[in-house]
Amino acid sequence: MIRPFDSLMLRTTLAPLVAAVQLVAVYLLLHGHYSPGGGFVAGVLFAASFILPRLTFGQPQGWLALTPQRAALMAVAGIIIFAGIGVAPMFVGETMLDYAVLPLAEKAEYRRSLGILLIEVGVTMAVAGAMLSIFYALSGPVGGEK
Amino acid sequence: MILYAAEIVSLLMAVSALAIVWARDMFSVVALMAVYSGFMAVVLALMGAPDVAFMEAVVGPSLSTVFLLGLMWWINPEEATRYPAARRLLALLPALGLGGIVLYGVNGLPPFGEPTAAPMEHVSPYYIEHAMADMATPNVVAAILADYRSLDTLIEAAVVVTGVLACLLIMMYRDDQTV
Repeated sequence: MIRPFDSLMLRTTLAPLVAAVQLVAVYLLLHGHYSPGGGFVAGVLFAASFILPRLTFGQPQGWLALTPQRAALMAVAGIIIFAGIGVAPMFVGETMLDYAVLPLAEKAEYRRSLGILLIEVGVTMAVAGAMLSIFYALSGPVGGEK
Repeated sequence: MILYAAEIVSLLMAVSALAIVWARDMFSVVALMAVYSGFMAVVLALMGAPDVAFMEAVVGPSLSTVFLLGLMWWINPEEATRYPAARRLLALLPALGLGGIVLYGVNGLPPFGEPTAAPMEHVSPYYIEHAMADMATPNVVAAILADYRSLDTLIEAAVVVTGVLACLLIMMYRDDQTV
C-alpha cells in the first residue's frame, strides 16, 4: 500500500497542479479537432491527475477518492459509449460509426464533428479508467478497498 | 543548429539505451527508460508528428514510470540475476542478427518526407483533401482516427480495456492476498 509522502512543498503545490493537469486534459479533449491531442492523451492525463494525489496522500478522501471499482466501471462505460454511438446508425439502416445520421446539428460535417467529440469522450473515459485500474492493481489490494 | 537537432537527440537516445543495458540497479533502469522515452518524444516532435509526440511524452516518462515503480512492490529490486558469460555471448548472436536484419531493412525505406513513397500515394491524399469538407475538422489526425478509421479506434480502445480487465482478474486473485 502507498503511505502518505510527508512533504509540505508537495502538499501545497498539489492542488493547483492537479487542477492544471485536469484543465489541460479537458483542453486536449475539446480542442483535439484543431490541435494535437485527442481522447487517448486526455485520458492518460486525467488518470495522472488522480494518481498524483494518490501518491502524495496515500488514501485520498472525498471527491478525489475515485475507487478501483469506479475506475473499472468508468473504463467499461467509455467503451459502451463508443460502441453505442457506433452501433446507433445501424438501427436506421446506415453503416456502423456513421455519425452523420446522429441528430446533433444541421449540416452533415458538423454532425460528424460532434460525433468525433462524443466518441473521444468515450475513449477518454476508457483510457483513464484503464490506466487508473492498472495503477490500483499495482499499488494495493484491488477488490477489498474500503 | 536546428538542422542537426534530430540527429543529436537520436544520439542521446542511443546513449540512454546503452545506459539501460549497462545499468545494474533496477531503479536506474526505470529512470533511464523515462529519459529514453523523453528523447523519443522530442524526436517524434522534430519529425512533425505532434500527436504521437504528445502520447509518447505523456505515457513514456510519466505514467509508465509510475507503473514500473509500482511494480517494485511486487518484486525484490535488489535481486538481480547475472547469467554466466558463455550464456550472455550466446544471447548476443540472435540479438546482433535481429539488429542486422532491422538495419538492412532501413535501407529499403523511402527517404523521410518523400512525396512519392507508397504510403503517401494510397489513401492519405483522399483523407487530407476531404477531412475539412467531410467533418469540419482541421486536425487530419483526429479526423482519420475518429471517423475514417473509427472502427480501428473502437477495437483499439476495447483491446486496452480488455487487457486491463484481464490484468485486474489475474492480480486480484493471488494466493497470498485476501480480496
